Amino acid sequence: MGYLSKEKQDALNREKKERGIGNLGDPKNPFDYYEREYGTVPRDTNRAPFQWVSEVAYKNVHRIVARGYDTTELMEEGYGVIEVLFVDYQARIPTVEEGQMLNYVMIMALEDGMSSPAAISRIRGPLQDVSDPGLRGLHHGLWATPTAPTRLSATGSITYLNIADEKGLSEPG
Amino acid sequence: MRREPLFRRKTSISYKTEEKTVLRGYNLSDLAEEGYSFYDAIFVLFQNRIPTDEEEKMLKYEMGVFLEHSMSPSAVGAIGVSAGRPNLPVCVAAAVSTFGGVHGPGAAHGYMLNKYLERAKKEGKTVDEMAKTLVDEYLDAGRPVMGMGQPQHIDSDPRAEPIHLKQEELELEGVYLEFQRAVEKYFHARRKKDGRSYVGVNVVGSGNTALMEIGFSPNAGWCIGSVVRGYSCAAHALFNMKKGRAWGASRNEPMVQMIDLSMIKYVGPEDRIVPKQEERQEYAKKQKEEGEYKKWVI
Repeated sequence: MGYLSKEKQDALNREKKERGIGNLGDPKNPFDYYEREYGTVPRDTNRAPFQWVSEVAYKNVHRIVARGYDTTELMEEGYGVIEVLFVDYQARIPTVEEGQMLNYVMIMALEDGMSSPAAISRIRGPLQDVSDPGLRGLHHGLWATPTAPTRLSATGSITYLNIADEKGLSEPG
Repeated sequence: MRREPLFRRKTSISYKTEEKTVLRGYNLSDLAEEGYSFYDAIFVLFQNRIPTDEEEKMLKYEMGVFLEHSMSPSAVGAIGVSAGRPNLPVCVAAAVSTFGGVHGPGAAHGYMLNKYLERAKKEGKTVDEMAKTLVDEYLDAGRPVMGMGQPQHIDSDPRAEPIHLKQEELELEGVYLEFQRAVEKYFHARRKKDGRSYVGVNVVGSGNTALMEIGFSPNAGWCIGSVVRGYSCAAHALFNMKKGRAWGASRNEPMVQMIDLSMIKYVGPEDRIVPKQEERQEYAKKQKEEGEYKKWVI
């Protein structure tokens, strides 16, 4: 659409000014309301057009590629969720031991009996509606399966290592 | 102090005490210590059983290949929500909220298979005959056949056929794969006959088939897909939180941003005068009589 023509803009502003619109013409306003433009901001041709920028993954008609690895090829080579999580979050294939460690952590985080997210998810409704509050319930005080790797590095480990350090419960290594 | 519980929560999934969390009778720590995988634990969670090696491999493949899909509605949802800088779980919830009739794990595909397989049994039809019935009924009614087509991977979904092949390689073929393959066969034939372009099976059509073959219900398949896609959408949101601009409208970025003002293309009614309240009644009546507003009603 772009801006309206100068004639249309002037005509609209003139009519509005004559009619007056509440306090909008008040001189205390830091602008002259009846000089304002109409229509949308034209396309910005001085900058590059918008694109979805990502360091994580791209896809084309024939491939889905995460951090350089074709995800179907990853599966064909015997990798799985554990490895793709390392690829997505750290742009690398984990060592066997690291994979085993994440696998261990994910099993432990999978189920927590009747915690707040599970409890709220039991309220009946479509599956999507009950899973979302469960997800939203996963904040910094609770484990979050889809966000566990983040929480581990960003909040969980730092917080708990600090507590352990302060209380002399373990030797941070 | 004696406490009377107001209510008790019943569950056949798990319990926990001060010392342990027990999933379907298996202590989670024991499962992890004995070398079981996350995929094994998913079987225990949804099906109350330890899978065979082949079943575990199938689930691993399906979950892994479904995890990342770059810019789909779910990732875009997570990125869009992250622009406002809420907590990360909200972005994941937004991603999952985009799942519906045409995007996401798609339990509807599983229900479709179950419904028609049940009919085949009742009507004494073969799987092949019922597949043709399904395709004809859906296409005659102008309804999309679940599990077919992907708007970006127009030749064929790069994840789909490899899942079918993996299922065959692992010798996990059963009635679901037989039915799905037959649906695809009749779907392609019907579109060809109608002079329409080729539309391949998508990741739901093949992935859900594999999941159902190894015992997961359509809803369980939906949950599994939601969880793994949640991981990648969280990664996309996190990337934007750490390396992208909040709001997505900065004019200082060298590239026009997601919701830069210039990205708005408005095709609605032109700017107009707001009637004074004393003019309102007459104005509103006239507007209604003229009826021009109807072309904008949504």
